[in-house]
Amino acid sequence: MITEKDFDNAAANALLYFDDEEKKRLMKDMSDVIEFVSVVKAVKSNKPTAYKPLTISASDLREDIIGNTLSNEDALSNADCADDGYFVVKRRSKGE
Amino acid sequence: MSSILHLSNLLARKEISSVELTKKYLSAINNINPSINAYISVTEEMALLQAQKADDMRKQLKGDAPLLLGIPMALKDNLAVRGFQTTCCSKTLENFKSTYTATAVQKLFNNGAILLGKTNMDEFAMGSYSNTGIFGATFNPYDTAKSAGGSSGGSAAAVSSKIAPYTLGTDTGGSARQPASFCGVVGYKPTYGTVSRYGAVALASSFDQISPIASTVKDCAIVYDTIKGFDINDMTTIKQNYAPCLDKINGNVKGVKIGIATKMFENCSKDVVDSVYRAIETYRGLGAEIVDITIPTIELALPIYYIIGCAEISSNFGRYDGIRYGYKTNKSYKDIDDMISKTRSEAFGDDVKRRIMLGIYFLSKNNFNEYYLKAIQLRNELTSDFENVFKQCDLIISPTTPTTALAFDFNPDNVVDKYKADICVVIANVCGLPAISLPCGTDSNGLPVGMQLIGPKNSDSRVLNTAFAFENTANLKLNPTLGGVTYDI
Amino acid sequence: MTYNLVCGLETHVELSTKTKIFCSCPTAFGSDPNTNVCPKCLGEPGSLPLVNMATFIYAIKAGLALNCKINQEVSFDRKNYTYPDLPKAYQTTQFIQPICTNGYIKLNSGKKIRINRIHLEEDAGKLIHSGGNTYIDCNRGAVPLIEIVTEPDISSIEEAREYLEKLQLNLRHVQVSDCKMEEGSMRCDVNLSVNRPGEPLGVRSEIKNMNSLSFMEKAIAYEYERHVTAIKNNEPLVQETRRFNEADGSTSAMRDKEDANDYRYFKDPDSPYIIIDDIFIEDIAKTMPMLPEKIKNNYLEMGLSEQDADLIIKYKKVSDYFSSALVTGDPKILSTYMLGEIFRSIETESQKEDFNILVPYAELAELSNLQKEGKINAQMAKKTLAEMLKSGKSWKEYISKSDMEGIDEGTLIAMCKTAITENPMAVADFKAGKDKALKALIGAVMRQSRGKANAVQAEQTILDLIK
Repeated sequence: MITEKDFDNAAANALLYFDDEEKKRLMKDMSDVIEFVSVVKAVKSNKPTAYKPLTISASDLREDIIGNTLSNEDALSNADCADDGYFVVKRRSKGE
Repeated sequence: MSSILHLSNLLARKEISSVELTKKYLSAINNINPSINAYISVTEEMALLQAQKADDMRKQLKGDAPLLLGIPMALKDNLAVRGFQTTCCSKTLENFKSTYTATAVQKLFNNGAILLGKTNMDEFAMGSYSNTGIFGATFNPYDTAKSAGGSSGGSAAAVSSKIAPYTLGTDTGGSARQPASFCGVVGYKPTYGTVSRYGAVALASSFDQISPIASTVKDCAIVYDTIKGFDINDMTTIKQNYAPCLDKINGNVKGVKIGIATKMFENCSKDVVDSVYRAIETYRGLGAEIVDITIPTIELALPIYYIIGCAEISSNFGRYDGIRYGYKTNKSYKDIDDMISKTRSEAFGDDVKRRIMLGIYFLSKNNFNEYYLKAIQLRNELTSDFENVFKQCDLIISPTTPTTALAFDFNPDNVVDKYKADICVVIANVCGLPAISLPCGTDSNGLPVGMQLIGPKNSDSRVLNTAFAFENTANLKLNPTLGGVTYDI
Repeated sequence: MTYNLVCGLETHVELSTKTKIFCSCPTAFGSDPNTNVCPKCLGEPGSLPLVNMATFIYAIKAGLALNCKINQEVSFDRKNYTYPDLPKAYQTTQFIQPICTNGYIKLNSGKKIRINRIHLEEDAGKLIHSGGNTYIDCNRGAVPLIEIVTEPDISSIEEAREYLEKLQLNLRHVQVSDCKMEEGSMRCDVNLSVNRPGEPLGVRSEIKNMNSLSFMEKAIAYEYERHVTAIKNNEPLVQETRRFNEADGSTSAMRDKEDANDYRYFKDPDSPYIIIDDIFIEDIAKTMPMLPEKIKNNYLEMGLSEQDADLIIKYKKVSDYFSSALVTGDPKILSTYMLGEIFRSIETESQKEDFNILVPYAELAELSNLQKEGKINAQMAKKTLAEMLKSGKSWKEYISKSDMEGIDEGTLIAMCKTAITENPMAVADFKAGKDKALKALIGAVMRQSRGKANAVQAEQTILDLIK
């Protein structure tokens, strides 16, 4: 069962808000999933704690050559608010 | 039997032009899509331009044209196409336009493919019914009261109802194979690292793979051959020799060892079990050897998938804050964190929020060792187990899903019950293995049953060939209630 | 009672590669906002990292220069947190498997400041706060950084300064960064605690983002005093992150956001494990220039003073030039040329960095040999050098054969006698005790000889004659 403290902590880190009803529902859902996956705790394993489907050599890394960049227009094309070439966000807003 | 080969032939013999073919599909989409909601956007103008270019190119080509030249297709809406919407069927990206094209998609374009439109999905590819997205649910062409499956439901339904010759979907925990199974088409998840993920909106990075969905195995092979390969833009792609799989498809499975794990047949409906067992008999008849196998850690596949998957999701989704792109709240806010929290809470659906929260929980200081690191260790255990299993057999056969297509009202009290249906498909994602779903029969209501073949890493050719062997022999004639473009085959 | 200062430094250094660490955007400074960006460094949906080999090469050079062990299997991790300058909401860094470990910098006293690790990571974008808005420029986002973390071995402000200066020196010499604190290519965080001798370590505080050496010194000084006062008065100290206030040299607590953060580090699934084999390291080691400490030792062996040697090795191009000139020239004379006339002709620090004088080192060496052999005197050399620096012409344009012949003893004596005869007042003044008057007599001889006479010899001769 997930504690309210853990839930609130996760929500703060996730940057998500929940009303009471959502919180109640989600706490139950999360508890169900946590219980289901908790079987892993009891399983002993000597396997490494690193999963390595692929390793490459440092000599296969990319060369230090300048590639294509986006135009400033493209870079800002999806921004809700942009000005003078910058992404802009109001630090505080009264809303619409 | 391959639609692509057939269409390619028609185009080569000039029995139809690409423009005419494209118009036929656009018209079919117009007629049929309203009933199934497979497409969420249709790129008519682009399609016709591309078709014209393809026709022009074909005239100028001296040698053989690429197989995909001039043949239309559709893309799941989490695949980037420069200048077009990539919504992931989420409020978050409803108005977002990609500034670059996904590598796999670009490869299709380079081979003359034509984009008909983007297909429906569960929001951000999380779900099994393609009903959590903002554009509504996708309905099964065999029975519109049933789901097309998810999260690549739109892609599967489009192929199934013949309003796209082939599509690309994505498969993170079965999301291409399960809808393929429900819709009676072929869905192929390649070996992890053989298709570039660059431009596929990330869900769980170490599980995601772009997956062709088409009407036949050869179609999937042709598409896979075109999109596979090392990509400098995706460091998780494997640098190796990539020979065409199509060349190795001959239907010969004599002496191929096919493994059955009874655990994978548990909790499946009778129709499903019967259909798959009949397929097994077909393989026996073709000279394959059937062996019993056990996968000791198979029960851990789902927990591993949820722990690591949610962890990766929680990190991949941090970027959606409304600042550089995406939805931003209209409400008032007292500081930037408040703005971001409001934005995310309004934009994300429940499934997305749940997985992000779980991911953060599993990665948090107190839980990291017990859950996340343990899950990594167990992922290595499961991978080892499969390496051992593949010493006893060449492929594993199982049902793709425990049942045929589900109704939309399947909403268990415990979310885990929904997840449990993924047991067979999730394994391939956890271990990076190639896996295919293809139809092997129908249930008493005429709904398709899907069977799955899983092979060891980099055995894509053999998986495709083995699947083809069944398809070619069984020669199933599946008929959805809705049908689009058909050609004499 | 003295209190122990226990201090460690974390230094972030921008690598001077052409492109960013995870994409091919240029790292060039000063471009218009959001023009050195691409889907990868903007964190667009579907984008993936693409590691730049040069960042590994540069990090390994830094590691070799700092006596580190190079780890041969490395990986990248995600440090998850939200901030407007971080597009992906995580920083890709190296937490679990850094590229270098276990190095050190040796101070002049012989004490080693141990380096715990060097790891690669990406920089964040730049924020400008103005008029209630935050303006975000992602050009700097994903510029490669190395973070160099010491053990808490530093026990004084002087040691901190010396460590940082030596760090800059080494990194500049291996050309991995220009290490300019004022321009932000080098930033420093200070971790310190204070304790009474013999007692356990005190509470640690961290002061973030110092961008000049003197600010760092002031910050340490202020913080040390603050800790000492608290200990004396039995007041509790809190483990916290503080910022340095440039206006008054104080530090103040930052809001607790940093401490509350659980970064949820885990290995980045979008980049594979990367193997650095022996050959890769050896190829880099082969291209390493001589390190400043060794260059300095060479200079000291050749007779330069420690102070002079330090001044010359401070700039790689200066020491490269100087070392070339040393092959044939006279060390001490060359150092007076360098630290005198040449440095005088260079106004700014950045000109010293980009050291590019018109005089080829071979010419300078020849000049020094002429002086050493007595063919010309110091004054002539200085004058000639000044001209050479302006024109780039050979010394041969300014010094003729006859100039080099010098003045024989007889001529010198005659000239001195003339000077004495023509300047009776000066002679009288000198005899009366005004030593300065001697200079006037020497000056007269120099004028007669048109600068060719050796001033020291002239002085001695005059003195002998007067007596």
